[in-house]
Amino acid sequence: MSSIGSGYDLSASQFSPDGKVFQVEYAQKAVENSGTIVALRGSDGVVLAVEKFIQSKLHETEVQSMTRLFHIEEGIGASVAGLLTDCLMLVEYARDEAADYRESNGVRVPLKVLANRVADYVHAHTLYSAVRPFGVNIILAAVEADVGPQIYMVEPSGVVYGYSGVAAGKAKQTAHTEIEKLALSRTPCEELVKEAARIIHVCHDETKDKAFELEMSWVREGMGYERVARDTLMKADSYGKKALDDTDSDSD
Amino acid sequence: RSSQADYHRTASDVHGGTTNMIDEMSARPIATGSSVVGMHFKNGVVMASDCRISYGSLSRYRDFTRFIKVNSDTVCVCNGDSADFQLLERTILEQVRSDEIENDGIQYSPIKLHNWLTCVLYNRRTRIDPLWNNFLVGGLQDGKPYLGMSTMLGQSWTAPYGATGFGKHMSIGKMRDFIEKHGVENITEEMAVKIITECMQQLYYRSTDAANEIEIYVVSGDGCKSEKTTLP
Repeated sequence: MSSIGSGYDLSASQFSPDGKVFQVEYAQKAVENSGTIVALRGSDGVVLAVEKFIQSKLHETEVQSMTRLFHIEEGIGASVAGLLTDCLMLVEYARDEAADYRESNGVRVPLKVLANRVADYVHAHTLYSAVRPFGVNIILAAVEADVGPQIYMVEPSGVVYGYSGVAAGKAKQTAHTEIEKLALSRTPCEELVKEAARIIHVCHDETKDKAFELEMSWVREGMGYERVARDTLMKADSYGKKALDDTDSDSD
Repeated sequence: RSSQADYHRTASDVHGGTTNMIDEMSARPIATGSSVVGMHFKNGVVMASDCRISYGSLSRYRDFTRFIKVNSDTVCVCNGDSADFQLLERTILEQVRSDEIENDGIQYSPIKLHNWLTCVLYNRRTRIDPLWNNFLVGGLQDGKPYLGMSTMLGQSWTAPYGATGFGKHMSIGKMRDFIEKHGVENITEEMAVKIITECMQQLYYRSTDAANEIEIYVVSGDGCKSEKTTLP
């Protein structure tokens, strides 16, 4: 899987003889090095959870700097995995596109339209040698009036899919396994918040990774986008830790 | 002419240099709102306008609000062209929405709005394409009452009282005398609302484009509230 580029990996404007665009694959590697993010679509909204690595004990965690959860538009949230500065650019782009749509059309941008615009923008950066691809997976979530809660994820190649549950980053395989076990469409967000916290704790590798902070936000029907309130977050976090300890002691 | 020149076409290019129609379109307001008045009181500011838009001498819209509530501390209101007002309203509210989304604690305040409006109005007048509005920006700045005026020519000042249009002639004197007699720190909300209502009453009697359906905004420590009443 990890083939040496040997000359076909110098710019995004080149294919390799076996049909790969290596720059895009390398961008995907950048995402795989980042902390895990999870999105779960429940019956009444979407929960976004992030395993945010704490780079240094000196960081001021109260001030929510270097957050990976963003408010894009009224009722639209995003979480990001990958190179943080690339992520910030994409978030800004998504915000601008959403605001522009509202200015021209008078209503909030449908999530599908926004996801496609972001995807096109990401894709455009995979076509030319003058730019490099985004090392970002961005998850966009909203509750739409006629279709209900929605999740879309854009990958560094510019591909975008809708999901009922998705993860990206270091432990996405583990996360996906856990997500598949959940009965998402029947579960309200209040429950999913705990499950999301549990999944993040399961994904976190104590031995290899730094200390992390659990960040969560949600978009819910009639309530728009909000960061999960501190006490709810703390409860979910301890549920997550406890569930992990229980499984650990089970396997002893 | 090459197609590259199309980006720089002016009205005279379009009409072959024979008409100044586009220039003239900017020279007068079309659908207009009449005077606005405002003053300080001990805990904040009171501002009022009526709800009518006139189309020349026709009373065109009877229930039009010329206020923009920016946030709980900041309100602005204007007289003059209503289309220009709506453009500024869209721009301001778009900025307010994006401030909410950023959610970094940075918000509009009266000074910021006043400053920004003045820049925009001055810039347009310098291009001989004015936004035909005179604004009153009011609210609480660092907990203290703030009232600023921004005219369509880009003049700006702050004062404990302000008015536009006919109000400049009829209401300023009344508000100024009241403030000088009592001092802002002794004027309660009720007293200020009473004076402002009397000003609007006088304007209704004497100004041809004023109406008796009025809207009063009060910005104080208790937040921002508005009320619509009909003058007798």
